[in-house]
Amino acid sequence: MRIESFDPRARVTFYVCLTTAVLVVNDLRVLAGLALLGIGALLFARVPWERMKRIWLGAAIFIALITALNLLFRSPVEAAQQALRAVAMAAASLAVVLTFDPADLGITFRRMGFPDRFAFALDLTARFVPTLIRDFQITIDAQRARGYELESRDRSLKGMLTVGRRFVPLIVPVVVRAVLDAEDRANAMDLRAFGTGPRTWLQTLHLRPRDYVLVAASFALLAGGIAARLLLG
Amino acid sequence: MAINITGLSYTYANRAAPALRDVTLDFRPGEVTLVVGRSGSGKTTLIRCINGLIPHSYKNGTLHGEIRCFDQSTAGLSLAQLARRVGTVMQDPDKQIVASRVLNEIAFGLENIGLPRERIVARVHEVARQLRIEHLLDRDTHTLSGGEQQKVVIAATLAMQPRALLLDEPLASLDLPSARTALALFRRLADEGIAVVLVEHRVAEALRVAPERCVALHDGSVAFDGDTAGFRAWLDARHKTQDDGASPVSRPASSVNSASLLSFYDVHFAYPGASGEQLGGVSFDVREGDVIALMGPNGAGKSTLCKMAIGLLRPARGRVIVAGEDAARLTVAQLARKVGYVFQNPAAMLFANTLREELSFGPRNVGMPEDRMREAIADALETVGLSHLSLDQSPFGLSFGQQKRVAVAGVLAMQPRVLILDEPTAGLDDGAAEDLLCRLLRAARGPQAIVMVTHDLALARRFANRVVLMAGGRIVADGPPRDTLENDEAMRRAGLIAAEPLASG
Repeated sequence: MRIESFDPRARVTFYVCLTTAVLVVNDLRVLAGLALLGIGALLFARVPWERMKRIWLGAAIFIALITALNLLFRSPVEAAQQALRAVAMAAASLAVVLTFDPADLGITFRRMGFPDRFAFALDLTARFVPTLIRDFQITIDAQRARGYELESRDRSLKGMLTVGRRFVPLIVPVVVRAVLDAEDRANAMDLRAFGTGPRTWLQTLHLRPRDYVLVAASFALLAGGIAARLLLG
Repeated sequence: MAINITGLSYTYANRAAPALRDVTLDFRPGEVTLVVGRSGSGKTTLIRCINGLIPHSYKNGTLHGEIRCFDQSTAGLSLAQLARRVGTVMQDPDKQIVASRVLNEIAFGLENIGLPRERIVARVHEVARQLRIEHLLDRDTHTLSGGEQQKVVIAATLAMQPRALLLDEPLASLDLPSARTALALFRRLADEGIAVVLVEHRVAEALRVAPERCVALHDGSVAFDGDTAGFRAWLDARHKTQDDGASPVSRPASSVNSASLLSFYDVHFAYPGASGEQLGGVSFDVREGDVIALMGPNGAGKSTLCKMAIGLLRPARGRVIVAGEDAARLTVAQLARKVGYVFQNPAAMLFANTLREELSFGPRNVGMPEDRMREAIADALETVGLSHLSLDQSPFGLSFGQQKRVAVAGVLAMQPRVLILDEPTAGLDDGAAEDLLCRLLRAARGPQAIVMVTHDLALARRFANRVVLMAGGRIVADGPPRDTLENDEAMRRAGLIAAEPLASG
């Protein structure tokens, strides 16, 4: 059995309940349990390491940074809390996001009660992430062909600010293009009668017994988290 | 009559001049009508008026006249009602695709009009079968090629069962084989009874569809309306009147004794994860005086090869020599001083608040001294015909054609010895594209060699003194245009001659 075999609504419910519980709970033992649950979900998702190693590298830097800041300015307990929270949320996010079929995004939220427009906006977001990445790569190439180099050997604050400014030739073309293209995309949607009335969604979703079990377990997890917060502080 | 337009005028909000002036036209079922005109002549505005985007989405302009669509005035129809009568395919298919999967994309309009699921599925499969794209239904839309995207967009439009089809420059992003397949499809749809309105810049190519009628727009008005024979005569007469008597702009072909500016020796390259090589042992020289048209179907390796010249990609095997130096030892910035690369879409590079900042970006990156830079910028603007513009002006306020010229000027200002132009005519009408290339070739202090990556045979014939044909990551022909473009075998391998007659569909 794979994580994808659960209905996407059940997976989203699990994710929301787990992350809410992680944010509510302060007790280190419970947080550790939730972190293990997140890692368990990720293992269950069987996402290839190659696909997520760069994301984990970024997450590890972030976790190390917030842990260090908490150690410096707060306490070791708070540092451990934040680190466990970050691990649990990162693992659960990867487990759900990397196994989610983008074509199911809209219908999932529509069937969870969100309006057509909101649900389709999520579909559109999934559709345009690869386009944005491609446009960004083309812009990087176009500016490098004009002798542009991002690297700055100056590691001082001023050097970092210089690097920040040097992103402008990369960011502006991508943003301007996205804004200009949005008009064409809105026109394309208008021309196919989007938003003129109630729409049919082609995909169908079916909740099976295992999905009900996962949803019930997710709410139990959330209730447990709230109870832990109330009882253990 | 499918569409009947009477006395149509439209002025966009905040613009003084009308985009359309008193246009009266009709489009008939079972006919292809070719609509041509230079950029800004009103072609796209005409399409927007017919499909209802004007006035439904462009609300603040001033509209006069009447459009009747299948005997009903469009003024009383909603966009959804119009969408079921008139389908529109816009210029860039990538901008019209809104779903992540092909099946959902074709179903999108049908979902929006609330058709029952079973009917949607049946109609999607029917139209996919009709266009022979059933194998694409489960594909992610972002993995489609330009030609496949075009077919999917047409399928999504036809799924709404329109009785008229508006095509706004549908060939713009297609290579020659895909363009000819698309034209055959348009012909077939018209023969099946649909009124097809084909707006196109690539006039010579579009005439292969054997349109029943041709309409030319000029400055918002109808300048010609008649059959194809009359249109050809009208075009010839116009060319004669517009010919300024200048000598043909072509440079003499380079000789083997000319200095080599850029050389590829047995270059191999494969993209990570790709099943085969993108370049399979390419060797050729770009010499002083060369004006090369680098041609071939999408995926032939043309752009990959050009990116090797500037170091954006590095060969897996083989060597690239730029002005006597091994490119492997040079950074992209160092190579950019010798080889200029203008990307297809100017929007990929324009970022600055002023033309001055935009045009000095490249020269400054390569360390050009300020006084020389000022001179180089002035020369570059002169070359592309924009010297009348203020350097304090924003590049974002310019038309697409002017932005394309700014992009070329931005690279010319770096004073490269070789200039690579990726699809120099994309998005430009024939007149604007010819003007830009004439200026580049006439420039006294321009690049010593030009490489144009292009699908445009007419451009190659008119401007190139050498044509390099690529197919499957290899060079299949290299020589003067008259030899290369007459080499049927090489042309067929490079996908520049259709393997099947156009009308077969």
